[in-house]
Amino acid sequence: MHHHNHYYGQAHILARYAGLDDQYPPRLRGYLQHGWNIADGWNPVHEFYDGAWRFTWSDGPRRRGHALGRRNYHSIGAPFLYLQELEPELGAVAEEEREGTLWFLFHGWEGGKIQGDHKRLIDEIRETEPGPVTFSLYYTEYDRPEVRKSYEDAGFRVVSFGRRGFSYEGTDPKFLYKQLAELRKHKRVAANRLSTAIFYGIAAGCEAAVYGDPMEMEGENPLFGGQSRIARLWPEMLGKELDMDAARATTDLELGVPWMMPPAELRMLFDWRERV
Amino acid sequence: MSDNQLAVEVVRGEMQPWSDYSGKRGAVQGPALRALLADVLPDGARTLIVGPHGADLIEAVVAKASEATLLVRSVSDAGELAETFGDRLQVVAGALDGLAEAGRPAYDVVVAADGLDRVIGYDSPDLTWPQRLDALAAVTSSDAVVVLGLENEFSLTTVLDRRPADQRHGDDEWRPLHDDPARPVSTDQLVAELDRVGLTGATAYAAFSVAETPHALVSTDAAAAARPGQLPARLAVEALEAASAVVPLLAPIAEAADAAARAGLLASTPTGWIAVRGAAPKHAVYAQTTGHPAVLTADPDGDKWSVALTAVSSEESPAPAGADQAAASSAASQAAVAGLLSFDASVVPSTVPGGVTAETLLFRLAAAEDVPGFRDLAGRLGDWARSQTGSRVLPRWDDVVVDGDSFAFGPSAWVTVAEETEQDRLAAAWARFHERLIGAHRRHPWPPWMVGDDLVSAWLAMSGIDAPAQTPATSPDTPSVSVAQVARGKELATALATALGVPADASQTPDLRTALADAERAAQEVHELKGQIFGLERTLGFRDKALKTRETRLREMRTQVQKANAERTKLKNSRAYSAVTLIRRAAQIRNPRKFAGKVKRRVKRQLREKLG
Repeated sequence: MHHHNHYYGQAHILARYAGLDDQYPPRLRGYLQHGWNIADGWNPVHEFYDGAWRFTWSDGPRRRGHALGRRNYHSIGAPFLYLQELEPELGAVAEEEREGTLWFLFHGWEGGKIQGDHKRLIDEIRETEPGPVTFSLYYTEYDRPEVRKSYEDAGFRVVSFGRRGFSYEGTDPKFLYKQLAELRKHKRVAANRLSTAIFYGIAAGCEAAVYGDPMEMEGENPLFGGQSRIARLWPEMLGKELDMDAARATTDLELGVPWMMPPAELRMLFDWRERV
Repeated sequence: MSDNQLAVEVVRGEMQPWSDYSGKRGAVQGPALRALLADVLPDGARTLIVGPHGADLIEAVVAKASEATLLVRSVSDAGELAETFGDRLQVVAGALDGLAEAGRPAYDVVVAADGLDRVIGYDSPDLTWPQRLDALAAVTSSDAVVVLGLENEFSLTTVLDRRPADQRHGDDEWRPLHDDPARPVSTDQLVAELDRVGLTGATAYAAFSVAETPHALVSTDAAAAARPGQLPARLAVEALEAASAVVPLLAPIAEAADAAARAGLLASTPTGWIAVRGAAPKHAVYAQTTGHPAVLTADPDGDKWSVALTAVSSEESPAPAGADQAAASSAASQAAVAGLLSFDASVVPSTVPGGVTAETLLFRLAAAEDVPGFRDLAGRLGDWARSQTGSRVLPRWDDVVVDGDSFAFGPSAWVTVAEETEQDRLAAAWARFHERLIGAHRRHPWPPWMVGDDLVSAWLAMSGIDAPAQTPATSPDTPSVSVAQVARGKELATALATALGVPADASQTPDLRTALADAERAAQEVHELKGQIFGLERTLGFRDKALKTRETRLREMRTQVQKANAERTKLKNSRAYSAVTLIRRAAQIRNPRKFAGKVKRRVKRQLREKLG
């Protein structure tokens, strides 16, 4: 229903999982959470049409949304988890062959660019990471030569997984496929903010770290408490060496592993029954 | 009419014309109460029955008594009863205070299960409830066995009755009996009143009645200790749900009863009480089974309940006066049930775990929107149901009790006539649960378009029965494949609801809140559909934008192609292009000598042809 549902090809993945056409996924009756956050899964000023259902990854966003007066939630688990089921071999290498760190810079979006000291961050990454570093930039940073070059000049391999698209245009439906494949090759995943990619990385079997300048984003709305609330709620997810048992448990909850459902149920939930 | 025409003895205060048996209210009756009387009444005692009691109860008393007397205030009722019971029963017409003044010897057993509200006439003095009890005590020996009923002014059915006070009672309220400030309104007050008149040591049962028929009698101790979903609470709620068919309510009674049980107040909020004095009842619970004449008794046994089911013959359970319509309805029910379900007392287990039902847990998980927890429980229920090989008991989650890590059947005796498939048995359980969840407007996390057969199918899949493959529809009205998958289960669930006489969602007579909620749900549905139209329009708007973008791009590309074609044509027609073509061809001559030879031969050949 909403074009955000196509971001990162999430609707495409769910359509494939449900046994439907994943090139042109059917619309689903509501909004699909497209990234992890500390609110109800959407940005604070996101608009919803009346009666829209909100399909979150896990129960936390549902609870927070309920407190905002919003109803009609159903948690389903992150589409990334379904992709892992669909693609058990994609990018996979033997465990001992996984190497290096896939490092995610907290990214801006089409409406806000990040501001911060990239040089200082590079120095800290060099000091911290034991192996080769692959640096992932969202296209909003990847397309800024001054940002991309600073990481290339540091000797990092710089990658971007594509665009999430807008208004059903320009979405790279393989965005998460590429991200999953890269994650499965790396031993570690790291970022300067606790973010979706960290959870994805842990789900894909990486060790994880969150450190460095979190940087600022233009127009960032700290309505939900910002970085300090994250530090209070998920201290096990912050630092250069995490307790991975604790981190995995948190990741399962935040990505909604217990909320995953079989294809037939998903079809019913999304009103994707094959009816005209 | 002269006194000589009266076939019964009359004491002061009789009423004629009048009937307590065929008016708005009938006589107190029912197999549960009969079973209690059978347990507490001694053999061979001189017995008095006070007030309107059904023939089934009178029969039970007469069978035990050495001499039985019945006092009713209506002369016509007295005449009919005298004719029915003949010389086995002495029937007296008149008021209780009139009988007390008659100077009869005190009785060894007094049964006043109907209470003390229908024991005086319109000509009697305005006696308060304690004064009526004084009159009862006056005809009772000090060590008598007494069974005394009392209607509860604080019952859930009264609190939730949507009729104003002046419309609740019938023609027998020529004085406002229920407005009597001296009337006891708790078991403590009832027992204290009995103590006051020397009838000490009484115990009490909470009576959960449908009209004048107690469906469940639960000792007040057991009722106070019962928590939602536990056997006594469940039997009480079933009875109250049945009562909602005859009392128009403000809100669902099951919800209020569960809240009362959580607060330990189930014994304070029944429709009435039955006090027993001078005898020790055998069982903590006496309950009339729904849909079939049998009595269930239950007693705590550690953390379980020992249960027994006793069939009741039709002679022991005569149709109540004015119950023709109910009888016709029952016949229709039996016809609907016939061929699908039957009542089999032998399947009732001898013990039932003391825990809550699976339904109670499922309701809680649904309300918490805890689908993983719900899925896990549904899976375990499916595994358990499949392990019940050879059992034809129709599973219903409101009668499947949590038993440690597993489950156990409750006392439901309804079995399928035919050997049903696992799918259909489980579908029946989920279809019933669906009605009770959705019909009662309970909180849950599933969207409205999924509610119905699809949701039952989804739950079925959670309990191990895979959903059938969806097939493309051939018309807008093509039903989902779930419809066929759960059809038989729904048929069984409907038959069970019919057999029980209580709709699965207990909404046969919608209470006010449910009616308002139904209307609100319909309005909400319209509101949300409007929202969906808005959303679809906006999606179409996005798509239109995308199409425009593509169309613009196509037009640009077409113009570019046309321009390129024009330039190409212009170039082809130019001298420069011809020269370039010639030069290109000349440049392709790899061997000029050979080429010259070829030209020479061709010229010669042409000359020969021209010159002959």
